[in-house]
Amino acid sequence: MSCCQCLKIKVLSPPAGVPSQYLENGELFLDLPADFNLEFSKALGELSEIDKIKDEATLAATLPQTPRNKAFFDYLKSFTRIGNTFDTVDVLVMEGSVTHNFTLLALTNSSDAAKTYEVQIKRGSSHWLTLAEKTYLAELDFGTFEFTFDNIVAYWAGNFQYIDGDAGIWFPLVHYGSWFKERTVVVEDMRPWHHMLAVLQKSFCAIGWDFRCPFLETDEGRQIGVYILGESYGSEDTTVESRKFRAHIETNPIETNPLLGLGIYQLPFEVEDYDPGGNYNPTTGEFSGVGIFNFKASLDVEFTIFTGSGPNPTYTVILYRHDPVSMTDEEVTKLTGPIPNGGGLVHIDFEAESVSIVPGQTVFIGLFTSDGIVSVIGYFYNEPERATYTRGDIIDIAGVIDPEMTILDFFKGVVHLLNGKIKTDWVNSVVWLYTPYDTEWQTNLIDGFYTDDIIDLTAVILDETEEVSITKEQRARYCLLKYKDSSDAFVEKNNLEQENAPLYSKLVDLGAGIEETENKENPLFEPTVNAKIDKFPDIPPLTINYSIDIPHLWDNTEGKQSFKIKPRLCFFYGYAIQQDPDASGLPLAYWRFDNFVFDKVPYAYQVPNMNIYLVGALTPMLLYGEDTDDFYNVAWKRDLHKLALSARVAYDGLVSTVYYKSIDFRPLHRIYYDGRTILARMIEVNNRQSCSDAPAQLVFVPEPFVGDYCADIISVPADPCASNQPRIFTSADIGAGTLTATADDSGIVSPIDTDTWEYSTDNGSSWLSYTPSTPVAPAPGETKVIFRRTVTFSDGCYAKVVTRTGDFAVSCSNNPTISITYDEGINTATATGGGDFNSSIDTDTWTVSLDDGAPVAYTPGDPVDNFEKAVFTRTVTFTNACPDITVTQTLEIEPPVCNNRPDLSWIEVSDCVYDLQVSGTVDSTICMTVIEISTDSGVTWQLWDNVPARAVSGLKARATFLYCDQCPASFVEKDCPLL
Amino acid sequence: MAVNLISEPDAVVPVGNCIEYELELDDPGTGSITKILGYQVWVGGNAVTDVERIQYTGEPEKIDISREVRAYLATTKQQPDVQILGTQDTAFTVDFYIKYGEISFDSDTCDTTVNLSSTSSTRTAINAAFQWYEDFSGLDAGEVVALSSRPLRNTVAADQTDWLWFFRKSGSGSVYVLTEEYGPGGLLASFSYDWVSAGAHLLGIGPANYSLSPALEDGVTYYKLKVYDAVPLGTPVYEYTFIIKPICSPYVNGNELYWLEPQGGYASLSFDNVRIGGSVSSGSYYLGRPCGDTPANAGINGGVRRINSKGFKRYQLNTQIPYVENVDRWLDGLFASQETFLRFKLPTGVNTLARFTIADGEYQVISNGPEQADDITINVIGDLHLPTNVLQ
Repeated sequence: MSCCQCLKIKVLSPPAGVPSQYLENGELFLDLPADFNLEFSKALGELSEIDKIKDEATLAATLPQTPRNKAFFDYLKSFTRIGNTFDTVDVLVMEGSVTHNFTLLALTNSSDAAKTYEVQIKRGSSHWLTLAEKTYLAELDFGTFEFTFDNIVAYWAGNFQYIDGDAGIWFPLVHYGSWFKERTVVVEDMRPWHHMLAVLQKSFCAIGWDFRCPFLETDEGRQIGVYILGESYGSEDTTVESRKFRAHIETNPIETNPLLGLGIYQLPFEVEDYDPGGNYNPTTGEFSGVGIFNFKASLDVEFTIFTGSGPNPTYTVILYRHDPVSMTDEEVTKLTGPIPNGGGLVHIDFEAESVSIVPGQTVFIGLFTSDGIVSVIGYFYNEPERATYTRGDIIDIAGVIDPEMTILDFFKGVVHLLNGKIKTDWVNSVVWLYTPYDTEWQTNLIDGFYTDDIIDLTAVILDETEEVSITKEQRARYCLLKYKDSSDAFVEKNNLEQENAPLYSKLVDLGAGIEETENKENPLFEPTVNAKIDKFPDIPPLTINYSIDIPHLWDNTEGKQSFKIKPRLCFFYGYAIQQDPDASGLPLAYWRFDNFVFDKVPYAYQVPNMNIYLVGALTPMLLYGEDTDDFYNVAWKRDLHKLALSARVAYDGLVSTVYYKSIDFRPLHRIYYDGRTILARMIEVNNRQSCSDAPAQLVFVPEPFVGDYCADIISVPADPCASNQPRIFTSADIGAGTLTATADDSGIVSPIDTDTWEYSTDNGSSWLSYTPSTPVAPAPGETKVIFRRTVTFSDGCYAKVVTRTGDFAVSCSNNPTISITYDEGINTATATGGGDFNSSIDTDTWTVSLDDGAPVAYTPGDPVDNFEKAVFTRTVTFTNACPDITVTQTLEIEPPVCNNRPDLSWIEVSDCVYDLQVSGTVDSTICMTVIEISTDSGVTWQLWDNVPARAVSGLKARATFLYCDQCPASFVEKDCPLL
Repeated sequence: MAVNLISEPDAVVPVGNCIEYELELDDPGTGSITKILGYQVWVGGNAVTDVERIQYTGEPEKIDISREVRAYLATTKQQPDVQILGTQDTAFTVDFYIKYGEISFDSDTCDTTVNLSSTSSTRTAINAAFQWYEDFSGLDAGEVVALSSRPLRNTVAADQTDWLWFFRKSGSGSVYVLTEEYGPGGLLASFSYDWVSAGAHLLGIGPANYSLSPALEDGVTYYKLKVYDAVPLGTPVYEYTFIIKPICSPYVNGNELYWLEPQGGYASLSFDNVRIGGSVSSGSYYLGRPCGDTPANAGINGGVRRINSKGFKRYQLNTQIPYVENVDRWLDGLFASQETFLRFKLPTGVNTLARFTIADGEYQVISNGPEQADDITINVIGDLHLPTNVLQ
């Protein structure tokens, strides 16, 4: 393989069957054709129309059947290799130094006739999408929870809002179609709901990624919970088996058994045949296992008729349920049959269905007759309909989740709610889920996916390649945002969901298009309805009690416990006192839990029917419309405006490997094309070919101009408070070193009620009260002051908080400079200072470093010499808060470094007769020395004849030294000293 | 327990000849910690890629960053009439290095830590791609390298512009140039000597932009350029001869091609014969007009209108020069070059460069028999795709 081959596909674990001559240092690189390239496409991460997460893809590629490739693919496609499952192979795909995220190679076709292999390069096993698609939530480890009364009650008050790292579950009061007991809710009626954010955080963590979502990380977002339990919740095979029993009556001890009442015998079934859980008491004939059971008994009873009995004697078999609290024996099921006249043997088959037992309760069989019983033999057993978690059990928090649900299934449901846009941070292994735009939800300002940063792509886009498609008339006019069709029996029973108006849906009119409706249905979550129940109307000592409002999740209307429940979501309001909005003020609702009376309810809802005592009406509601804080307004509305415009524009562009890999769909892109500038959001990059200069196709959706937002197109009332835009102006006083903030109220429409100002000099850690127009100095060493303004309005519009950072440094304009003069001949440099300043200089400190030595103090104007490299450093500080500035100037001398200081001297050899002598020092070799003398004060010169000269008026001498290297010539001129 | 830098490029490398690092992660992590290899390419002091990741494979990984570095290199184009003497081409070189280290993921805390704490040595890339048969090891050894594959004996037109780029690794000394000008009969008319410092420098060497002193005098029939790597001058590293071809008649505008050689410098070739043609492309439509115009107006207003009309200038260039060793390899660079220009004389008389797209061409060696030197003919066909503005 050529070293500089741009695209390389390296097989990470070469099969043992590939001969060593095809390996390079033990590594296997596949042979690629000369014109080989992979074609990549990338799209904005979001949910597609067919509920797929858009991401990145490559087209299939064809590899040649070279000897090396053949050796590798023969191994892959071998029919005879034992255990060959034709799985994908881990590879490393590198384009230059850029590693692609496609690290699985799949062989799709091999043709000896064409001498080719068709392969598909797929997303790698480390890609979160790959892992999320094949990882089941139930298989993960979210920890455990001890299912006890105390723990559940403790969670009600403290865990309705998810805190990173906690158990991530809560126990709202929910009606699952039936209750284990009639007059009280018990621990076993409670089921864990998972926090939406917790499921995502913990599951992504389990596959090696971090999950972030600004929406779900708000206080209210942390209160969104989901019901995602499997149908077998609490009824796993081992649990069910432990609740089975079977016993029989071997002898006839009936006369010794306690008589329950007149003529009622409790049948003992004293021989235990099967009881793996130890729930059956053969002494009493009572079964105490917790769950829902079908009980069966088969009896052969010999009756005797008492004298005086009336005609048509009968017997009754009764299944009793004994409650230790109330000390009552409740008749659950009865079977009455005839006794033959004259008595005799009667065979009885008895069955009681769907009998629920909670801890402490027992069931047993009684036999009633007004006549006599001679003997009874038979057996008694159960068929658990299902077991259930009971107090003291340890719940596997992940293990109870629907075993068919993958991380990706769950993620898609959440993505739909938020119209989510996904950003994958490969460097830090973080998956970000955003709402499309910055939004406000429940007073939270939430960062959206799209930013207002602008990237100019003009240089990338090619001329005459624009393609605009407008699909306004081809797409459906109406868009229906909705939850998944409800399968809830409660919803069906009460006819709450209409075909044209699904629960909590939003129908959006896009203004034009085919008269059809496109359903945008949540792929996972069904709607959940709250309803008021008055199950516990009379709780002593209270004699007046009112309804409580709780979610109803039913899979039947026969009064049985429901477990076939599709995924739901609710808002965990918390542990609070409900108050009926129809009944002003008191009374409040009460309910009973394990025979304790509570006025607070662990309250969950999608749409509430109750207010909260001292709070009032509740928000948010988890619906697509119609509420100001619904998913439509928060996440869908603005995006659908773009759909209403229906314009897409594509350009061909030059997309480098690095740019392609780092393409960010979040900012705005600006393109100057054909005389106009457009601002658009990039949504796709298509047909990028690896290692090629060929252009790729870049697809954009133009960003609607604010004037494009026409309320008539989308039938949503405009937010009248949105126009209130208080602003802050800041200014700096350079001389005083202070910053000042003033108000700009031109953007405010509503009357101002209060206007509170604060400022912070510690980057927002603490805030102090501020009066506008008052100068504030930044903290020592800092240049910034943050001003904050909170404005409330008296017309009911919500408050606005704006901040603005004043940065003193922005107004500083100080530019110290260094100028160096260099004398090449004697290798001497002198530095002087200059520059422009708008601040008063406090200190001006200089150093010089010669030949990378330690810096020493330097005085501007002083010469330095004998160096090859001189670095002058100047540090200027100011009397105000402007930052210190350090500038350096480097002088590097290219060889040869010249240091030639020749001299010429007059030497008196006799009276008034002088000879010339060359002295001084030179580093260079002197190639030629020319000495001239002048007797007319330098007007004319002649070569010196090496003869001493008599001193006369105007006698001068000069010497020119020419060097053999590149050093400049030296020149020395001397007057005769006598003169 | 670290990422080891197994190998790194030479101190000076041509960007077209692979810039390869070899990194090895020696620890996949244990327990809740998973480690992968991370690296980032820095060019000119700036990070030019994201942090790239390679999972632990247990083997050293080779990383070629030449594509990323290439984007930050260029050879500075010159206008034809400008005389250039030893100008340093700062765009021709760039420093680069990589930062590398571990990226670790803790499955207990779900935290990812990117720790690219190690930095490779700073290296220098030059904008050159040497051929497979060329030995460029002298670059790193500090030798003087001509960034051209031109033959040592060249024929140049009397009005031709040409340049020669030299490179010498910083700190290796200067490049010394001796020029000799010869008159009729091969008599040495004059000579001069100059030098440029290390780095990439270019000299104007064509008769039209001859930058060395003294200037080319009338009557000079050929001149030599001798390049040395040390003084006193010994054996030249390169000795180029430029034979001046007299201009027999005024050339048609656009007889000189310039191209970026693989070695990184621009070269030029003057053609004796130039044929210029034009080609057009356009669409058309019927102007929608109702019937009833008078014949005169119908003639003015009616009928088909051209739209999207474009005109191109097509050049067929041809010349014949003496065949000398290596001239074919030099011409290979012409036909493969993506940066080709035509000298274009503006109405003001000033020459400029116009981007030229070679569509076809060939060269052919012509044997003149054993008694005479061979020739080589060169044919180039190409287009000026500068837009022709249309008045509508």
